[in-house]
Amino acid sequence: MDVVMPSLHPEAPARRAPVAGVQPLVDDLFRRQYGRMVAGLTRVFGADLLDLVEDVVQEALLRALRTWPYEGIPREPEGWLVQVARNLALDALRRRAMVERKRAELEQWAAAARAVRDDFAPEIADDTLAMMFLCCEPCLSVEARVALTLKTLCGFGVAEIARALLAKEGTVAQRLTRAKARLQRLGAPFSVPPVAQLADRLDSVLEVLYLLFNEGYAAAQGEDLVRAELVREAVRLVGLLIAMPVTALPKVHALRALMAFQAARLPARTGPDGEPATLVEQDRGRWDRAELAAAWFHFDRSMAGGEVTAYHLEAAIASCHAAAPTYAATDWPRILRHYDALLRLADSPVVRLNRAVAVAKVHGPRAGLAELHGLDRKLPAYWLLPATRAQLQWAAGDRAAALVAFDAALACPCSAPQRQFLVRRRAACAAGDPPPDY
Amino acid sequence: MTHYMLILRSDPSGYANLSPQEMQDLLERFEAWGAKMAAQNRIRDGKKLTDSGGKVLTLTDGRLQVKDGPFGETKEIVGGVYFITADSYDHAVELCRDQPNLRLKGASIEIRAVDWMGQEPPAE
Repeated sequence: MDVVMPSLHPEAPARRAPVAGVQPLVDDLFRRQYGRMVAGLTRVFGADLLDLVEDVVQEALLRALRTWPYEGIPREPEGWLVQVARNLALDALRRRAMVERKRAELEQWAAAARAVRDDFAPEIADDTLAMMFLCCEPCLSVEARVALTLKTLCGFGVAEIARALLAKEGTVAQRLTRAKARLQRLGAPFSVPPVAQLADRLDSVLEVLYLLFNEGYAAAQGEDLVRAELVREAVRLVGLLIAMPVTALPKVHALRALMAFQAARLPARTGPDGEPATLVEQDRGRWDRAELAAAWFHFDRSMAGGEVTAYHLEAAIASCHAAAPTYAATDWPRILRHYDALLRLADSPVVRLNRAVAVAKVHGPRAGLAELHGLDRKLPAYWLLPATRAQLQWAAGDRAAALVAFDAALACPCSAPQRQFLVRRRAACAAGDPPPDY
Repeated sequence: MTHYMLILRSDPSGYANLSPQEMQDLLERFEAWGAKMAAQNRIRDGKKLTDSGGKVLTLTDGRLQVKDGPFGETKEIVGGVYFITADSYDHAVELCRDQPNLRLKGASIEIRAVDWMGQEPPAE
C-alpha cells in the first residue's frame, strides 16, 4: 500500500497556542522558503524532476495555509515547512521507487534545512547557487532564464512574473514549460560549474540579474509593487554570488556596484509632491548614504584583475554621478570617455541614446542631436528617444522642433508619471520658458 | 454570552494556483482576524480537519453502513472549525464579517449556536 499520508503535524514542532500573542511572519517568508526548498529538493531529486519538486514545495506551503489558521503559526515556521516538504517528498520518492536511492540524501537535506533561516547559510547556499546556474543555463533565451529564476529562486507566481515583466500570463506560463522541457532534454546538471567554465557561465547569470534590476528600476514610483520587488531580488541574488568565494569575481562586484549606485538614488527619484525627479532635479542629500558606501566598496573590488566588462563601465558612469556634489559639477568628459568604451564593448541603441546626452554636455546640444540620427528605426516607440531629442532641440534654441518631438514622445507608451513629466516640460517649452538643464 | 461553532468551508481547488506571496498574505489575514478575536478573548478553540479519510455512518436495517465522505457530491469541504463566544447571532456575524476564509473560492462560514438547554454555559 502506498497511501502513507504525510503527517500534517510534523514531529515535535513547538507550536504556540492558537492565535494567542500573534508573532507576525517574516516578510517574504513563503517566497524565500519556496526558493530554498525547491533548490534543496532539486539537489535530491535531480534537475529533470523540477516540476515534481515544485509541486511538493507548493503543497507544503498550502498545508501551512490550511493548518496554521486553526493551529496557530508554529514557533519555527521554516522548520515546520521543511518537515512537511520532507514527508511529501518521501511519498513522491515511494511512488517513483526512488526511496532506497534517495532517502539518505532527503533526510540529510531535511536535517540541515530545518534550521536554516537565511540564504547565506552554508547548508543551502550551494544548492541556491546550483539553482541559479540551472535557471540561467546558456541554452535558454534570456526571457526564459528570467522567468525561471523568478519562479524557482524568487518564489514568484506566474501571474506575478507576468505583472513584473509586463508580459502576458499565458506567455510566461508557456515560457516556463518550454524552459523546463529544454533543461530536461539537455540533461542539465544541478551543480555549480567547474572553475574552468565558471566565468563564462556566470555571464549568463549576470545578464539575468542585470535585466531583473533594470526592469525593477524602470518601474516608476506608485507602479505595481511587484516590479519594484525585482530590484530587491536582483540585489539579493548578486549578493549571494558575492558571498560565495567561487563566484565573487570582479565583474560580479562591478554589477553589484552598478546596482548600488543606482539604488542609492531611489529615495530621491520622487519630488516632494510625488512627481518623478530627474537626475538634474534630484536633491542629492536624499541619496542613500549606506547604499553609496556599498557601491564604492564593490566598485573598488571590481578593479581587481584586468577584465573590463560592460558592468564595469556602467558602474564607472554611475560613479561619476555619485562623485559629483551637484549636477553642475558632473565630470561629463570622463562620462563620455566611459560611454565611448562602452560603445566599443557593447554597442546598443540605448547606449547610443545615453551617450548622445554626454556628447551634448561636452560638445553642445547640436552635436548631441547628430548622435541621435538613425536611432528611431532601432528604438521605435521608445519615449526617451523623442523626449531626449525634444530636450536637446529646446536647448539648441529650436522650440518648434522641440514641440514636435515632445508630441512624438507623448505618442509613445509610457507610465502615468512619465507622461505627466512630458506634459509639464512641453507646456514650459510652448510658453517660451528657458530650456531646463538636461 | 453564548458559544458558537463556526464551520469553515471552501473549495480546495481554489488554492491550487496561489503564489507563495498570496498564500502568505492570506495567512496574515487569518492571523489578523485571530488576533482581533483573541484580543476580545473570544476564541475557545480552533481545529483543522483532514481533507480526506472522512467517514459517514448510517444504520440501515440494523446494519452499520460506512461511507467515505462527506466528499463527492459537493466541491466544498470543511477546512476547519472554530468555537467562539458572542452575544448573539448578529454579533457572531459581525465578528466573522472579515473572516478571510470568505475570500476563498466556494467558501462559506456556517455559524451554529451551542444549545445549553436553558443552563448557564460553563464558566471560563
